[in-house]
Amino acid sequence: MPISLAGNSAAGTKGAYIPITSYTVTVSGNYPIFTNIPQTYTDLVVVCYTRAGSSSSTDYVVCGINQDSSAIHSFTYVRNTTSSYTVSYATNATYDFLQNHPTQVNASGLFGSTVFEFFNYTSSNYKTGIGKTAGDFDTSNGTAVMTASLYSSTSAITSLIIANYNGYGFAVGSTFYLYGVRRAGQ
Amino acid sequence: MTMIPIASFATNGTTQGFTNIPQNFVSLQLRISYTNGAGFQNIYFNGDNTATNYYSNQYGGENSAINLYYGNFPFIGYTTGPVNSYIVDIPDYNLTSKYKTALASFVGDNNSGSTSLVTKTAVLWTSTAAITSLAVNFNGGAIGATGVISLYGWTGQ
Repeated sequence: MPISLAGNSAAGTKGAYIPITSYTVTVSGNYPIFTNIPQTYTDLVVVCYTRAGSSSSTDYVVCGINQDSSAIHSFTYVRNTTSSYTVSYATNATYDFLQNHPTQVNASGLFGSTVFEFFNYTSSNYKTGIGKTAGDFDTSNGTAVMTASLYSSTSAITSLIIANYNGYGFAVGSTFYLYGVRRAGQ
Repeated sequence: MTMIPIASFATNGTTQGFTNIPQNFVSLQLRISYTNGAGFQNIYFNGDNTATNYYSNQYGGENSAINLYYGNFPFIGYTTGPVNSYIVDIPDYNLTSKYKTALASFVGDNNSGSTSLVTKTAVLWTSTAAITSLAVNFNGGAIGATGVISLYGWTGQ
């Protein structure tokens, strides 16, 4: 089998996660647009701590890639809320992911945690991503969401928009951190 | 904790892996992205390909269906599709006082967007040996050379 002699590599001690940029919502309704993403890493990770600006009873964090609104996005998710789960999917979508997070109807100070990971984002393959969310929306109702996402494009990912599904952007205090994950040799 | 890159290479075979894994981390992470997978993908440690030495248990979603699998072999995912990615965490891989566990997160696409899968899989290897090598068997998938398989180690502080 093809192998890599891991013990002989010269990876050094520099960390794999490289901070690229971050964004903090200081005006309610705003959201981040990450453009000119460096093409020098293997994977991308976005760590989000969010609360919707809307007053919808349910709302979601979604992601736009390359500002491409053509219907070549799809995703499947498993969502568990309290004692029930939902499995669902979308094809021919214009965005990726559908991650629950608290809204203005939930107690103030409640934010949801979501991590998006995009694999091999500079390759000529279609782009896969995974979204993981943990949120507690009140004292009795927690939500966990795991989502597989596919962007059916061979273009490298150069920009990401993190948005709120029902509009109104995010609440003040929402934060977003974009990292590049380098591999050995990068 | 800091995640340190150990080694990486392009996917170009049905079984690929790493040997001489350094023993100075607290946890390993494998990150894989590849094309044209088929069937179950298995992970083997230290060249042990005896299926009954492993146990796997998986849950996940495929379109609107829940998927629950378990078996007496070391699968970390299942796909029949062209685009697949994994993150596999292997904590305490170097401790000789514990059986070894792995937790795999998988995202795959069956048919260019019409079906996609997301799964979590727990793997138990019933050995207390320190993990010095590992291999992933893509089970006959024609692995595209545009993919990448990378190994990382997490430091303890």
